[in-house]
Amino acid sequence: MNDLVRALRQNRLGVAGLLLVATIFLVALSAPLIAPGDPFRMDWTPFLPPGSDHLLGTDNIGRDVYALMVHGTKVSLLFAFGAAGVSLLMGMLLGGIAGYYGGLIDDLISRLSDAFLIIPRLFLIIVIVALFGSQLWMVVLVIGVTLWPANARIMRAQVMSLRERGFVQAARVAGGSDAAIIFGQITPNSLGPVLANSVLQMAYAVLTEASLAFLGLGDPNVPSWGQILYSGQNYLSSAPWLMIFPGLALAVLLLSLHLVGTALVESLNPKLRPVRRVPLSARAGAAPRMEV
Amino acid sequence: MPRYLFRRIAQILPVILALVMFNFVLVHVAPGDPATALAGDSAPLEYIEELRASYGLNEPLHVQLGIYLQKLVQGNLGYSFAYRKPVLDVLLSRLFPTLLLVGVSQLIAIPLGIVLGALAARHRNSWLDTSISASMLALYSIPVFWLGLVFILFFAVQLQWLPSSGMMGFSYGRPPDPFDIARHLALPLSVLALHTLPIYARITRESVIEAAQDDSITTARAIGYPEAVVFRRFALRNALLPVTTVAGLSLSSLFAGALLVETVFAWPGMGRLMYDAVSQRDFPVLMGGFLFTSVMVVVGSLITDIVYVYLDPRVVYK
Repeated sequence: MNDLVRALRQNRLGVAGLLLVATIFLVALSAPLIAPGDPFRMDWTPFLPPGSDHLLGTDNIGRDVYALMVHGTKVSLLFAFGAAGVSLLMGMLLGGIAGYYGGLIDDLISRLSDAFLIIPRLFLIIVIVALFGSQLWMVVLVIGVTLWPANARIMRAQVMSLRERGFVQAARVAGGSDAAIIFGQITPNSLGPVLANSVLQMAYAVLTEASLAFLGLGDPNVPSWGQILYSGQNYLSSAPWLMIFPGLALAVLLLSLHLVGTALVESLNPKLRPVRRVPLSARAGAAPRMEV
Repeated sequence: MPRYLFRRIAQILPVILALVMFNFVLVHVAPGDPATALAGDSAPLEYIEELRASYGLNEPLHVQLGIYLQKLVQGNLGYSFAYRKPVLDVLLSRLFPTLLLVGVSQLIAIPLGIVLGALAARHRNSWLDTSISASMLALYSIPVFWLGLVFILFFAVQLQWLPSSGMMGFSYGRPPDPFDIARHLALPLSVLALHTLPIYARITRESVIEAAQDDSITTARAIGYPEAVVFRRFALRNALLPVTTVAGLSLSSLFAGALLVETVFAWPGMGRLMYDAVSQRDFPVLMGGFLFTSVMVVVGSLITDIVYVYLDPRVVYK
């Protein structure tokens, strides 16, 4: 965990991404303050271009795009944290079990995750949502459930390499139960790579929600960026702002999540770690410090 | 090699069977009547009754599964009332446009991605690397359907250079004009190619950098090969293997991208078909499309595995 924080600090783009995500998070939290009232109210003339009254214009049925966008932030972040969270928990649990016990259980979980990794995820999610409806929490859950195998794989590899280390052996000798060893000793030490991957999965979850909404499979009862795009695509030439702003917002959120995720993943792969430019004066002095 | 092939096919069959089972389970746990899920919303009542009999929906579940599997093996994916055709016929009629779009876009994206990734790795940490990596990351962050809308707004609406939807103009009775199709293909093709480009550029860059740290590179340099030869013959060639793997693994995201691109550009492929099936609640087409695409992706990944074996003489499969 501390490694991750340190790695992120060394990567300027990663820090920039983190700041952007934090800003978007703040917008979501302060939505009732900066865009008070029901974002769905249709009180205005449709298709007003962006201006002083309506910062981002109004949509085809007279709703304020700014209010829709601000409140849509909440949905994107809900999917980012919700779906990636479900995937993180499932991945750690199943990957941990597979790596710790090995044998038949490992085979079973590994085959299942192979199958999940290969099937076209978006198609699967579309079929399920089309059949079962688009209630927000169910879609969060479905996306999370389709994402776990990548985390399980990483977790499994981590657990397998840690299983035989001294501190785990010591815990075993001291009489720790399997659960205590997995969650007390192994999990905290294998969190880094799984968390790094989870940040990238957050981006995937945001993108999937937007794609579903864009295909008309979003939850109609909550405002979301994809939903604005869905209705805006029919007015490309007459009201391009309906398309431009939500798309930009999505791209910025995805970019910042990718920046953070990539910085973390790269920091964990020693071969990809950026070469640090050491000033000549320093080079002449002591030998480079070995990191332990 | 034949034994390896046999084993790989044996590994894939359970996945396909699991997909079929999954489809079957979905039909039954979906809210409402399984017969409606099998027939779609536009089917008349008599047909739903007929389905109930022909799929044995009043029989126990295992009998139903047997009938379902038997029908699938015979290529019967159900009947679509929205199109008044068997589902398989509907799907096959949409196969060519999708394969055209996906195939040509990858013919552009893969070589271009490799070139960009190799350039970035060759000049690592230079301004060239920074600008390639940054633009690839930015491109990767743009939702593909939004990129499509931006392209329509710019190239079709503003500049009026290219058509924004469909596969060809009206051509009553005349044979399809390849030039017309190419004009219609241009925008969706570019968007899908740009969507997958960053994946290849990124993996090429990473694997070239990793390959360049291999001992064989040091040896080649020590022998005195010029740097360009070391790079091309040793680093790049070794680095291309992971690109094959990634191409296989990204098949499902490629088809997902194709679905969204086809939706935006009304390209008459399988993705657009599935989008229309969602809005018409045409479940047979939707589930048939899912099964069909899944099988294509599974078989496609098998093919990349085989290509991999041919590319890398070091890989020996027992």
